Amino acid sequence: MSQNNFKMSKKKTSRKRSSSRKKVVHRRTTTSRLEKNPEYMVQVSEPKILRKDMLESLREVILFMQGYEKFKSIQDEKIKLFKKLKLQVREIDTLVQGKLSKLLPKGKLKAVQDNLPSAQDAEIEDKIEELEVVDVKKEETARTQKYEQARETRSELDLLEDQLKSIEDQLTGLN
Amino acid sequence: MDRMPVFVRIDEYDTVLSLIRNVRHKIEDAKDTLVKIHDLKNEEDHQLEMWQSTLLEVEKKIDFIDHSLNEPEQF
Repeated sequence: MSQNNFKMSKKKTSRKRSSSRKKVVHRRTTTSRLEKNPEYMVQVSEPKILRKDMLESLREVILFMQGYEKFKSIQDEKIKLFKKLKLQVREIDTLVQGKLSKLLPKGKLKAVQDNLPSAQDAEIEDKIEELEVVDVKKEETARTQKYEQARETRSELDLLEDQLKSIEDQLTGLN
Repeated sequence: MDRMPVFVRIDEYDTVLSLIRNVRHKIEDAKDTLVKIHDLKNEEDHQLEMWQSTLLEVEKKIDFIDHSLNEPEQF
């Protein structure tokens, strides 16, 4: 009885195993590559020149794209320099207005002041400040995105250089 | 009375002088940065000109290819 039970249980387990071992076989559908007959036959009078022109234009497009990357880096550098300049001017301002004006004696002449700001002006200034804060946040997110993009563009640049090399090799072969 | 010399009292004369020197230095730095920005702008302009000439070249070549494909020699 006990043996029967054991067998029964074994059978059950074996069934379970067999069911788990069943695999779904994906059959790949073989795509038949049919070569299409060309619809038009065009006689090209100067095939070599045509090919050369195509390759050269390809090379120029790649050079153009490389130039774009360079342009982007120049712009980034320019933005950095603008920020630096802004800081430098601010420092000069603090030195002149904050420290120097305190050390020098004050004259009797009063500085020309505009009319005192009204309540509406104050509200407008507050709104402008809020907008500036939002702009700063946007800039930070844009900066992080730029950093990530820079990583990607490096690989893109490598790819472009490889393509350029192969095209130039082909061109030298033609010549 | 008009030509009487005017004396201005400055308590911390040395500090003022050093401060002015510092400001001058900062102004020179700012000038350098501005020159760099100007150089970069020139570089950008040069790059744009290059792009324009490259595009013209590519356009010419594409015109030639288009012409030779659309108007082949007739038998």
